[in-house]
Amino acid sequence: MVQIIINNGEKILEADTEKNLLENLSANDIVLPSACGGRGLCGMCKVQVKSGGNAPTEKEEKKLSPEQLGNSWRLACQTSFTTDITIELPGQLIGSTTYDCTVEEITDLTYDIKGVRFRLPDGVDVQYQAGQYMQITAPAYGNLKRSTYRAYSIASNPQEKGYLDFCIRRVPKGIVTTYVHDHMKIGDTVTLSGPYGDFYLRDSSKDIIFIAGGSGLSPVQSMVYEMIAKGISDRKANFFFGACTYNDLFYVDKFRTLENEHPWFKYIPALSNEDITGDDCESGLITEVVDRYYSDLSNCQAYLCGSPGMINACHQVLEHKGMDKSEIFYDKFA
Amino acid sequence: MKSEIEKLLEPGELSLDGFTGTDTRTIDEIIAADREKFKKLEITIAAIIKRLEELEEAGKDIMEREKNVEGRYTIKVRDDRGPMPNPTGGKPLRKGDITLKDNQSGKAIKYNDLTILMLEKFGFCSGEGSEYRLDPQILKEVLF
Repeated sequence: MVQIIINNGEKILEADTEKNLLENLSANDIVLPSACGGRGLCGMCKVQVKSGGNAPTEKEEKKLSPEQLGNSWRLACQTSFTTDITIELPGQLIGSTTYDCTVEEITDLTYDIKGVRFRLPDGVDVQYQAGQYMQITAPAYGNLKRSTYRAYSIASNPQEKGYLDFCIRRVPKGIVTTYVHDHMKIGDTVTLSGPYGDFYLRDSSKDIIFIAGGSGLSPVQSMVYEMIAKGISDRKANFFFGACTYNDLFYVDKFRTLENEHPWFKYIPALSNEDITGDDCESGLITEVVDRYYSDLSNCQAYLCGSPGMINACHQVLEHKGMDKSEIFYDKFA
Repeated sequence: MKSEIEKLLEPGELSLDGFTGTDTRTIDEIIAADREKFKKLEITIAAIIKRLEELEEAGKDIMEREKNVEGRYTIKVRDDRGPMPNPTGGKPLRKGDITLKDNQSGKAIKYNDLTILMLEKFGFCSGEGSEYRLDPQILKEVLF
């Protein structure tokens, strides 16, 4: 019997040598993040192989740096083996698994963002940190021949058990978001895997700037809930939410309520494309609004979630205002 | 036997509709026919890519608003979260689309990092009927 020995024997799996390492782990409910369905294209299913396995493939030589290859990093989807293989996995990945959830609520948050609540199976709990993400699997639908999964940040309160919330923006012709927006119904069973990611609130005494746009609100909401649950009230937290028009805003009442209940928290929506904004909104690009708000950010920490363009632009403003790069955190999957 | 890249360009792989459209030709046939068109039109793929990238850069807006560029084009650059796998094995590509409308001719094209990469590496302009089709004749009219 061929075995997969994980983290010095913390876990030992019986292997099917007809399958690659990614498929073997997945068959044992250890689901590594991946965006390409195991084709060696996304480079996300990295594992450290201590012994055993084939030589690195051409695809791995493109995806992994010489240092990574020298330190025995491999892509699980490219790793095959016929004898025992010993690997190292981050602890959180051993804890990640798949969950067959029931769609409990679907809400129109804006014209292109839906709020979705997935009910976990009875008695099952997902241990995650606010800011982490799950992979949602769309089954084969329409003319599609196979299922497809994509990553989405968790929007719910980690203290509340039994369900997971997400805000999912429609990507035109996107396989999973089209499923969520046009095909998924209340009561359907949908497979989620995770949790993944190292975007989470760091222990610090520094004040916090949250900046998000669109569905990037999700992890910020989860982090604010976590701060409330943990009683973190000695760090001021300003949440800048960037949108084009009033039609792009959502959860405004919820954040206003949080603001009223928690003096350390302030919600600052900013609209870039409205000629007139009321007292309730700032006017301008989110970068301009952040720039106006602060003169010195050397004693602050920032958490960014949104499009890559927004993150890059915000990064520049924050650094220009004196924030150290090491204090700026954002979703790596973005 | 289809190559791995051909399979990835089909509907339901990297996007719902894929990049082959309603074209019944093989990818090699599409590439060969477009290569002839480029030759007749006396334009190079390198020059097209340079223009596509210039216009994308000029049309970028962090809030994804439409921008008018060069007094001629309306550009909207959509910027989505998450990576798009790179079929050639390089760095993951940016997810999103660039919609470029030439207000002089009224013609429009749609492209993204993947379609630029396919054009650059293989001379593949997407199939007829694909919303990402970069027809050589239209490229010449719109970009120059």
